[in-house]
Amino acid sequence: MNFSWSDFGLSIGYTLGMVVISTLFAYLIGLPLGILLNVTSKNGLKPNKVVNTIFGVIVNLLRSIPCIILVVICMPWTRAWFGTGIGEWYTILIPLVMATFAFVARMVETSLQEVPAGEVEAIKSLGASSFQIITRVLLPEARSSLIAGFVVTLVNVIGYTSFAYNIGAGGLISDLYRYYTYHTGAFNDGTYLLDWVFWVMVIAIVALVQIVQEAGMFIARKIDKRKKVS
Amino acid sequence: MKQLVIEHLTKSFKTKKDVKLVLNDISLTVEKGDIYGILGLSGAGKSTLVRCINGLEDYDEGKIFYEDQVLSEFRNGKALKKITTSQRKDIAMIFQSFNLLQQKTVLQNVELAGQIHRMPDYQAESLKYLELVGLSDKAFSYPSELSGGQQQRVAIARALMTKPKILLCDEATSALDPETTLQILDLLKDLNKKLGLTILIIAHQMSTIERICNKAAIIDKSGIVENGYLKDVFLNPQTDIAKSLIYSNRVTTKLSDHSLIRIKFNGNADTPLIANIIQECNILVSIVYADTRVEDDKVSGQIIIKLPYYEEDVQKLKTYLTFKGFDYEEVNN
Repeated sequence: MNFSWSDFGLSIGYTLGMVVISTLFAYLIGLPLGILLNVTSKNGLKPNKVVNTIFGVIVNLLRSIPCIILVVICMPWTRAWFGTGIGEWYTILIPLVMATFAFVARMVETSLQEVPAGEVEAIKSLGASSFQIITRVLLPEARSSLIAGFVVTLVNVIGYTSFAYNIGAGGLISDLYRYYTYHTGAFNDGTYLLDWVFWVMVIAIVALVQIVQEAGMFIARKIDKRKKVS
Repeated sequence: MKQLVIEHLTKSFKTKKDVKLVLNDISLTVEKGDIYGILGLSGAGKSTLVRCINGLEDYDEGKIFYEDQVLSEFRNGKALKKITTSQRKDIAMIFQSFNLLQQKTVLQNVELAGQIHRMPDYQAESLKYLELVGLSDKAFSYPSELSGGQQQRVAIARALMTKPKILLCDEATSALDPETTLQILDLLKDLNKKLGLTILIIAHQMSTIERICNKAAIIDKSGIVENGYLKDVFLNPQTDIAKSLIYSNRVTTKLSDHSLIRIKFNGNADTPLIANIIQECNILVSIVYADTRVEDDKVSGQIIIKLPYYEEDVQKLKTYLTFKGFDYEEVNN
């Protein structure tokens, strides 16, 4: 197996595609779900034990299934939607979304919990509707925490893309593993192949995580206007 | 004109183990333009009372009227009627912890109140109210950059945006230093005069209430124990709790072995009473407590003095006080 820069560029592209698209869809489902969990919780705007328990159990269930199992479970679904269950970069999208949106929901729920109850009450006493409180108080006040959660999610999803290897969906981590095992064998018998190709790929992955983490946290800090505790 | 009438309001908090009664059969009438003080020790239930008024909390039994309309009504813990959005606009509230949105500027905080009700002129109105509370220059600051007093001013501006008729103040000055407290109280008094705003003030210190209130109610152990014009409550406290809130606790406990007499000044505090007693009755008296306050440009107040040792002197003193037209009573411990 040989290394080529164009393949390397392509696998970066696949990884980015997987991460961006699956995170986007995970948020499309997870954000409303997280808001729902927060709003229906005991101290929420509209406490509702039944709704909260049902969605809470669904979220916990999804979070307790290992990602690799989700990859297998989702395969027939992927085949029905995309025509093939394996071998293309997009065949990992459904399991990634499934593994991430429940995580996102909990993350959003926790972020919204951080908004002081007094702020919500003050706006409630002005006559705001629950919808207005969500859009004008909860989400904007929790923005810094939401972005920090978004960063954690992105890094998580980057890690999850390694499961693309199992269905031949490619991407940076998958290719690194493929390259490595091709030259050393699937079982580590003490041979380490630490050539420049290995380092290029590792550095690319580390850089990707670093950029996401640092840029995200920089923005989170920048937009936080609360009193800094130093 | 009766503006806010609370009838037989009862509320209890249920925990797993027992039921704790926080408000027991509270009835209160607030007239338009009143600055009504509600005084009580911490945990007496006074905060819960105002939170019931503007619907932040439900109650078990009772009825609240606002301008002859039912504001809310509860029976057996079930709501027969809850406060409506338009009624919420009329009853604004400020809090002990100010509760400004931390991620919005001062101006955005005030504007939000107008945006909620889709007021077309919310921008101009916000600037107007910021000017009224004297914070135009802080419009683009964030709450974390302001002092406590400034934050409370912003909260007041925000509360005024919906053009309320009643302002509820839940320990609004408790987190502020004495000087800032006076400024905020004076601002409230000013708003009461300028806008005809009815104000309900919750406090645990007499000093907060006596500065601006015309009426006061004292809550103790879930119920109203004294209620009426501040002058009457202040000069004739009936219950122990009221007395302890009005005079400092030390006076009555430290001197429990002495007989004391309390003389009330009702607008005649400018006469040199003590000097006259000494000169004209030839009795030496010692003052253990004195307090004066100004209401409607009249000085009123009270003084507690130790009674003379000899019974004839006591009689002389009492005769003198009656002759001069002073209201007095013996304070027995």
